[in-house]
Amino acid sequence: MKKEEKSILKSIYLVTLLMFFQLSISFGKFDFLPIILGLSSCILIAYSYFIISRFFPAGDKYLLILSSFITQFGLVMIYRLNSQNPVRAIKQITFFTIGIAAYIFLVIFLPEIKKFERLRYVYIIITIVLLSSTLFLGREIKGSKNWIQIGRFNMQPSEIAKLFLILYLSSSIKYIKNFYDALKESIPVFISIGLLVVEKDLGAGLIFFGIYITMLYIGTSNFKYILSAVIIFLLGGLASYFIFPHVKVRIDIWLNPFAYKTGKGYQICQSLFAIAAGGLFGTGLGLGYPQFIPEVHNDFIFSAICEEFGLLGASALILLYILLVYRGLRTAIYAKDDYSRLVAVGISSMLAFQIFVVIGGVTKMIPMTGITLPFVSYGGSSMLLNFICLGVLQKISESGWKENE
Amino acid sequence: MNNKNLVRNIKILIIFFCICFFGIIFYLTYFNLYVSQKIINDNSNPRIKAEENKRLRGLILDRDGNVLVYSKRIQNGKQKRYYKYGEVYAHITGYSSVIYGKSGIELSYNDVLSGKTLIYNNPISVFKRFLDVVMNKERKGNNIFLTIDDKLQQKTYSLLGDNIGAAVAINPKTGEILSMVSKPSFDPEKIDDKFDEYNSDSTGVPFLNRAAKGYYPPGSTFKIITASAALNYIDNIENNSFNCNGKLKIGDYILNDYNKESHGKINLKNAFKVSCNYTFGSIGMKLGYDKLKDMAENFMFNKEIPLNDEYDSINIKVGKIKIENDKSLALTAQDAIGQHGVTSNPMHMALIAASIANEGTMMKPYIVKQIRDDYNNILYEANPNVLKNCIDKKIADKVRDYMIEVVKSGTGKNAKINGITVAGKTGTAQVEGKNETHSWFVAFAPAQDPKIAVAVIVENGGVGGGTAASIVREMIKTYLKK
Repeated sequence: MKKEEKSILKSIYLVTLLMFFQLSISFGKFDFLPIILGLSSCILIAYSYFIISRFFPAGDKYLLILSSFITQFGLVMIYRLNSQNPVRAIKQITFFTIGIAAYIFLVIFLPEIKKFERLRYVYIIITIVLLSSTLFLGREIKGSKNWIQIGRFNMQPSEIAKLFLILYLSSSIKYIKNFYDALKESIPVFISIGLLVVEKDLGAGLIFFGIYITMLYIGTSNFKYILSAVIIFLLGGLASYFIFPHVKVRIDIWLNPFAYKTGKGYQICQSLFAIAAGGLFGTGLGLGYPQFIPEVHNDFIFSAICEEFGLLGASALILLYILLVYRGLRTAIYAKDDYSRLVAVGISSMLAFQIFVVIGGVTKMIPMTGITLPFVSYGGSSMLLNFICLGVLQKISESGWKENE
Repeated sequence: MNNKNLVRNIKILIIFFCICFFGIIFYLTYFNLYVSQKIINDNSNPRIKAEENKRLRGLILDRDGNVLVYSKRIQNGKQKRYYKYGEVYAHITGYSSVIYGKSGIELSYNDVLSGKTLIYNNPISVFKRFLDVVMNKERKGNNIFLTIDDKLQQKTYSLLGDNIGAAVAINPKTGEILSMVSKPSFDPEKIDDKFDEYNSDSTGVPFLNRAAKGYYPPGSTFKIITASAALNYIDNIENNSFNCNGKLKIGDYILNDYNKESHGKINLKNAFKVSCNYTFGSIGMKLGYDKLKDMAENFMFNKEIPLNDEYDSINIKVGKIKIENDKSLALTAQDAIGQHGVTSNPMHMALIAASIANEGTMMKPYIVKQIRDDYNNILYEANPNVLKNCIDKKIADKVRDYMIEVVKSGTGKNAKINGITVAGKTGTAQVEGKNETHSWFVAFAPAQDPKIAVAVIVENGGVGGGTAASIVREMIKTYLKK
């Protein structure tokens, strides 16, 4: 077991260093910074793996291995996109370090997840307070009013709210005995989704609904609830298509982006050009033109990967994500108690939905919604939150394995 | 809550997410296979220009390696295209504008010039390229060598002067286009300012390449074809004689000779020499429309003429022969002297002269001689190809002799050159509803070993033996006496 992990890690170091080495020579002159970035990434991965395997050998190490490898893709791409001014890459590796630190901190200090079960009303109140806070304190960035500013930092409360929603749903689902209960427990969720739609944060709304419906099904095995939830969602979606202009615009752009190619559909069209330019093998790292896509380092980083790594590289990344989600759900299966199990399911499906919605969005498979690609997109708050989630999963897997042994 | 149910549900969830994610991979594959080719050349894709700008666009040179068009880097990495001789080569090279796109060689050989399609096929080039990458040297596109003779092209351009018209010279044995000029012309460097002016009727539509896309009645130059048909289809025609009175009466219609001149008793050879409409009208009626049309189609009337080049940069307009009623003798007689339903362009007429010169075989015309990479290695070399065997050598030789007579002592005396036997045919094309006539001259020289075939049209240039013939004379002189 340990041998396999080590050989996988060696391959990861090799790929990471190769990618960064390529970056150091691909812009006309030899650059030391990418090599330094690559080496520090590898040291960071090696160090965190050492801590986890030495002191918490019971847990699932692949969660960490997979996610830090995925992070390298993002780091390489972010450096490549701004090679002249690598501030973002340096910031991103700082966020990665902070994320790893938070992850290790949680694994060491987090008490049993079971203990969190009692506070379910607290969670939902926090969720709704977080979501409505942007209505009063929020700043509108990129057309969505879902950011608040604390000191010098911008953050998205909906990112954190997702975690609290999962905690709430995990504890409340066992109270659902009949349809009336289901409706009662669901009302706060629908309020949250409504708030997100009003704030124009459609992506987060979609993910909230995904998490909600998944956990409802896992917890109750009752298709009637799912069906009614889907019907309510569709009705709500249809209504918001007619009520909110921004929803309508998103759908229209999705149906025919080239009709808006110089205006509101510019970004998605550029993203499609990038994917088309990549083809099967991609143009090669540093040889494409992903910088033509506006905001490419955030939501559209997947298109940049498609252009330079091609269909094969993009598929490899998607497979890595599948493995990560699988390890998360596997953790849920082996968890000690039902509460931990539901929390693990919630976190894994949150990641899965987020990945699906953002990749589907930038490839025009589904309408575009502005959210970040977990572990890859540039951004501190999402990186931190993803590693916190990972820490919780790690904790659950660790206690689960202890139990099984 | 049932523990077993929960685990089973989670397993279902794993399958569900796998389906979702593999769905994305499947969709991306579909996108790459079917959608990407459709959208990638959309004009809002900035990659096209960026990719082109990465390499310095290749040169366009004449057959001897004189640079005609080149690119240079100007401020902030952009490149500008310079046309050394501007209007002289405008209809060949075309233009390359950021606003209005591209035309001519610039358009059809865009991928070659920007270095996209043809890659290094030579290990030495690959090695040199590698060295250049190490040295961080600029990458260049491929260079195109035209079949055009710069001296002849310049001369032709100045000979046409301020006339509206066109001239084409071809190597009859290979099909190489030696010069192609259309007037009025445009300056490819000034496209962005003058696009509308170049496209407007009041200035004579300089964008129109009259040499290949003009639409003129060939007039008496068409008698080359009528004579070929007569020699081919009518037995003993050479010994027949016609009694020309200057006015051929066909029912209610009267076909006049030039200035209603009467040639008296005349045979085919002399009728060709003096361009007798009476004789050729009569021959046309004797042949009938079908045989006339068959012979014209042998000379590529009513047919597309493809270039020998890999990419067609000229698009020669189809020469037409048609008639409203193929029983009508009056209309057949008019077609036989190149009026009424017959239209052509100088490129086509030059090819017809060239096929007589080349013993009845028409070669595929071409304008690109060679393509070389930026290390001067040949990537493409043109091979002459036969387009069509129009007529037997015997007939071609006879028509050639007739054409020699035309220049020696007939309507084309103006094209005579000391020491060079020129074979030619005049044409004076009447334009329906106008008094002015277009002046045509087609020729090749030296008659015994042809090296150049020429067709010239001067709009409103009077008789063919005048302006057009003297232009042809000077062109042949320039080319043969260099």
